[in-house]
Amino acid sequence: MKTFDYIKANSLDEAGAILAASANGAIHSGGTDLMGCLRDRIWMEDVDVVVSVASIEELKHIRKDGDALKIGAMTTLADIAASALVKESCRMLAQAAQATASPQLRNVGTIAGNICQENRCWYYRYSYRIGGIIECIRKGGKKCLAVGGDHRYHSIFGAVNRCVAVNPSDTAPALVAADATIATTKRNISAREFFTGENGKSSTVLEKGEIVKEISVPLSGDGVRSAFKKVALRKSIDFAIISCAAQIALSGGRVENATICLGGVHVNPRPMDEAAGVLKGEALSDELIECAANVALEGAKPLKGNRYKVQIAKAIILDTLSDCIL
Amino acid sequence: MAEKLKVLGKSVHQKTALERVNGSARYYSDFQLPGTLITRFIRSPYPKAKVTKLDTEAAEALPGVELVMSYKNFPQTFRDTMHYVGEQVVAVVAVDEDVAEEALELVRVEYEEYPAVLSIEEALAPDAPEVFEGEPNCHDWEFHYYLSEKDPESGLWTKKDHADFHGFGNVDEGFAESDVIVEAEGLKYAYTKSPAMNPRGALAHFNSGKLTVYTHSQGMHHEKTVLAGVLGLNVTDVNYVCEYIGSSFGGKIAEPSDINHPTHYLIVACLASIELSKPVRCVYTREEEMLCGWSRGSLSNVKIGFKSDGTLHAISYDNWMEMGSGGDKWTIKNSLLATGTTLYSRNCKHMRGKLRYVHTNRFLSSGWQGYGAPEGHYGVEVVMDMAAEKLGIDPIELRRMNHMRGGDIDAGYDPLSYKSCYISSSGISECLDALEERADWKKRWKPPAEKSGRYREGLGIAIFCMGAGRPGPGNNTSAEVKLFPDGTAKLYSALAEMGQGQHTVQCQIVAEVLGIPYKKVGLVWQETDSTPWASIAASSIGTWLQSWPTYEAARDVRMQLLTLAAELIGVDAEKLDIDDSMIFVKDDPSRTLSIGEAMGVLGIYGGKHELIGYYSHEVPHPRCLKDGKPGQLYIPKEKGAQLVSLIVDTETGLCHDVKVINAQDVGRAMNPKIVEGQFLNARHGVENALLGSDCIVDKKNGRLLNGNWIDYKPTSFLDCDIDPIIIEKPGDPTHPFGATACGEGAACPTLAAFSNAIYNAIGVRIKETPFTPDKILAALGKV
Repeated sequence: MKTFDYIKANSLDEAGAILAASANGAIHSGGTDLMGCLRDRIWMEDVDVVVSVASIEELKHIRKDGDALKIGAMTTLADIAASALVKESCRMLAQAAQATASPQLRNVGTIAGNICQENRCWYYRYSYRIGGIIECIRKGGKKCLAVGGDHRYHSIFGAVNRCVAVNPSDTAPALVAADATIATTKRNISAREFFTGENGKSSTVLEKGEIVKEISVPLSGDGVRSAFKKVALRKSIDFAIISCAAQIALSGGRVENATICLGGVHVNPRPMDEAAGVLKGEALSDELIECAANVALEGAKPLKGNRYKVQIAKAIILDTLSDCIL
Repeated sequence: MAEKLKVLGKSVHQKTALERVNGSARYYSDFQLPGTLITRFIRSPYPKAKVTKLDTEAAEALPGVELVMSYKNFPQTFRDTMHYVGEQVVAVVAVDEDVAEEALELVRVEYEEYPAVLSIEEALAPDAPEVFEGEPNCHDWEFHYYLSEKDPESGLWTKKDHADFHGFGNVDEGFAESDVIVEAEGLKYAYTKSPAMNPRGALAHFNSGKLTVYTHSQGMHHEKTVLAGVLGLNVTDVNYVCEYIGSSFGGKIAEPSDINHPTHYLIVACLASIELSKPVRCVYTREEEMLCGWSRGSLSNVKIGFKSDGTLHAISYDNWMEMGSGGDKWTIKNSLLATGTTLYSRNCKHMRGKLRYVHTNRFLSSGWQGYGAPEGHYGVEVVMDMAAEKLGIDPIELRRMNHMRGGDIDAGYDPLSYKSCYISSSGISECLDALEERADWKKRWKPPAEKSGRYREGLGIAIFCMGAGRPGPGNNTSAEVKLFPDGTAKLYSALAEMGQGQHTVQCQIVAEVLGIPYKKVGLVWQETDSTPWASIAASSIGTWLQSWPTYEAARDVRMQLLTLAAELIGVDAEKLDIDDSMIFVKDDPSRTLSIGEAMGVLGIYGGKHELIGYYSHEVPHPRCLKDGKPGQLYIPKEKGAQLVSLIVDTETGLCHDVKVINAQDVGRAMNPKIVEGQFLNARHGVENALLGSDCIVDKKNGRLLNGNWIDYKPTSFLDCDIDPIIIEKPGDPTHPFGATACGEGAACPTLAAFSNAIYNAIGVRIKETPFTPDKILAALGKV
């Protein structure tokens, strides 16, 4: 890893100013992803400054505020997973936090870090130590090597900017499905909007010097149920082959509102609005849920080596929706 | 010795457990010497290439760089031809990591790239590029032997001739005589890694003509001796220090004399330290370890002929082992263990085993845990399951009919030194009985046709035997025991402790023989300078081989002590015994003497301050010979049966509720808790079966894509439940206390048991490991 300055910021303003002034600064919150990125030098430009926001206490909270659940950016995944408030008002987020990594990593990894993490594409992440970097499309290469190479864990909904890496975050689909808002040092961004960035150090729309401050999840009314499911090979410390978060509002036995979001299928967490639309106004049944799952995958464009993910995606949507009804 | 064992058979606390738990155990990285230099590598970006230009001048000129090593100045370790992505091109030795990494960027290397082969299939294709110029990619095993002329009295083969396959009888006739023939081709065992927690590395310090090496080792004395030879040093001028290994799983043996063996960390550190007369550290990163750690993988075809009643009659076994660009070809011999030479020796009349090793432009392969045996078991035990279905015989029953028994002839092992041996004991029947009962097999096992619905339970079984001991010459091992007047003893034994509990078990033996508490036995093992020669801990050999010198050295001390006591008490030494640290007359237990009294130490003058026992064990021990006749050798096997139960989710292709039950006959469990721990070795089978273990290489550029522990997934405790069943059948003659062996066995049958369980659940056979959701869903027609 290259030498860099490490600055512990006392406030977000200070951190933002340092980042804005740096050539290529990075933020340290939990550090669980950052360390790997720095160590393997996966970014084209070496980082000159790392600003730590880990010790800013006002960023560590979970509280009810009006009609929203507010979660500070530096709140650990372990705290979110264990929070009675989160479990009660946004079950799928607590489940997603619990499904992330391992106990040790959840104890230090933060919600902001989790949604800002880098993708896990093994071409992009290839360590420079073993024969140098792989020149993938994000690193000045002419094409995405996963498309013609081994893409068993890559996008089944096509490329963005010719890259087929997927967003690896477990909490991201839950936040999209919950219609959460992400407050930064500069603005409020809806979760859907937040993950539509196409370049840079992650797939977020964050600008240089912009730092995540707080996450706001609308409190759901009675009759709202949500669930999160994850399919991964290993039961501890593994990224999802596919994950799914869904929320259903029931009224008089019929679906008043529904959201479904898949993780691990595209460069962004992917909302399944058409599938959710199938449910609206209907009484839930196994047939309806299956119909929704099929609609969700209608537009899938799997690659030769990852068609199996389409089948898993259908199954996981079924399971997640069924869990919402239970 | 007391008639009833007092220390052995008890799960006493492990000797070095406290240090390992409280963090005071010293692994090689914990040794810090002032002024230690750091090593970093430039590694080949191409799977096959030649270095056409190398300019290290700028790097050498960088302040803080002490040495730049390449084929130009160290041709014995570096070369200008590259055979896999990641092969070392240049090593920089510098004052710290930052300088070393900066220096790497100043080195200019140009390569000429050549076509490469990145899998067994590619390597075997006609007109495939050669991995090593002028050498074929595929080699026949050089030590195939045809055995003939069975002695009617002993049952042993008397004639052994070089042949182009290994075996006996005539398989063509054997298959003609068979009523049912079952075969499978293209059973592929993916290229998997031994996932050792602590990556390879060494700290070498050459000072005043003496070299001290701090590293990990499965055989310190062996490695030290070879290393001294390679470096041109006297053996007496090299001290090898290995306090704790940091796990190995059989994959950390160093061979400093072989440039194709993944031992470069060691030789680079030593050469640089000698050159500079400074301490040099060379430690691999996880990514480097994933390249240089030992791999395994193979392709096999298996054909088995049966009589209509299920009696196994003939086996033909073909194996192509992937060796990458070097490694250890001897691994392949162990694949025969699962065939008619050993595991199915009871009824197999005709055996043909054809072994080949295949070079590819991938990193090196050598046998780790099971050393070739898991690959053989995978092929044979899958076909045995297919046969059970075809014959209409319960899979457990078919194995029960055909597995090896004690006294059967082992015709596969160590072809270099023996024609054949006797299998000293089996116990597989008892293991099968135990599994059948524990899993409620008779009630739960149903053929795949009777399964339906989304979640389908599968039960699979496989039996196994593992080498457990090398009977041939050259495996001598020794131990020294000292007894002190305060009633404590110290064992000097260099046999490697790599989590298998050998330190504890050997100390238990000393306590048992001397009649003193286990806590009174200390241990010296840390370095070669202060320990007698010990064999490499490999082939599940530890308990079987090392117990003899420990036992005999302790008996030597015991006899010295009793001789001293006999004089003082006035009876013959044979009439004395020791219990609870007191020497007593067997016929009159009221007449006693303490150990201190017997040694006659009063104050600091006079008497004996230590009694020293020593024994060097030459293989085989006389008790391993049937009727005491040379050439009639008993050889123990590690043996047992394993059952996998799981539930396949036919919508996601994932397996849930994974449980492995491992039943194994260990003769005598010297320390039952440690034995149970050894059975957990089955977890590597879990990752190799279900967690996608395969060294995934990009088909175009040859890069290892999953060279880390996120993308390559060693098993976590949440992934499976392992239920150990210890079977004890006393009386194995090859060990002083009737223990046989317990090490790698549990890792051998697991992939076959998983294949059989998944088949039992879904009714489709997946031929290639790992059994990941993509393959399971494809088998179910859902992709």
